[in-house]
Amino acid sequence: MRRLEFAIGALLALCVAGCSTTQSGFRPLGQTYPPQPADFAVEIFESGEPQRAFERIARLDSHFEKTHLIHTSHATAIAELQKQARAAGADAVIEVREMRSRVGETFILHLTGIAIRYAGPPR
Amino acid sequence: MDQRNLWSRALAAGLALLFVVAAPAAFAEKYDGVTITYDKPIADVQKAAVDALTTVGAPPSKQEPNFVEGKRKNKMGMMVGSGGEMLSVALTSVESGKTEAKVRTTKTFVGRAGQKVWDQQILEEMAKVLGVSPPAAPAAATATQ
Repeated sequence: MRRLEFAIGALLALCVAGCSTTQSGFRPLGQTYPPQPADFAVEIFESGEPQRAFERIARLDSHFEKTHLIHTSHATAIAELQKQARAAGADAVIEVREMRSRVGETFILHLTGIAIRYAGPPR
Repeated sequence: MDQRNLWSRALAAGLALLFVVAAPAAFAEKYDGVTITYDKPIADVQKAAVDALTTVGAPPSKQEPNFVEGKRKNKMGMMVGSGGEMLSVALTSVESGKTEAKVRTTKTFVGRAGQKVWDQQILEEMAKVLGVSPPAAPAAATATQ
């Protein structure tokens, strides 16, 4: 009986691990910068651009695929984009684009953005 | 006798399923990817290809000046799951400042039923990155941008 419970548990764990993927990263566009602290609040400009002068420093990608007809929320993807922006040493993210698609029971969400650093002294 | 009958039916159902899954691939016209020519230098098109593959969930595992390749991860599902396709973009400089890109999706054995051809999505994303108009769907076999 315990073997059966273990087998069911292992199968469920395998399913949870194997039914979704998250692939995120950034590609520097020129000079690289040290990462921001983990609690740094990265600004997101889903439309428009900041009024201050800035430099584009990286392209950001956050990609989610989930099977079993499970959706990924926009907020989850934005949070991942902010994480990548911090890793790239950015102050904010502009030009955010969302792409959703579907393959059978798999829902795909991809967000791209451009990480920027404000010109002048740090905040 | 009943059990033998059951096995025969199961075998017949299995063969029918195999035919349904394998027939489209067997009878399809020979697929050789999509070729498009951009009025951009090869370095710009290569970067666009890297971004496009990342966007469709196949971050490049191989990046060369004239070739980019990545694989979409396999995912388990209730029925067929998805992923496992190998996506590639081969680049050739054709004239001064022009680049020919051959986009190709290769389906793999594991999870084949849940795989699809991603060429059009890759071309659309490359067009966005390069700032050119995307090719009409389905992508023309040969087009100039």
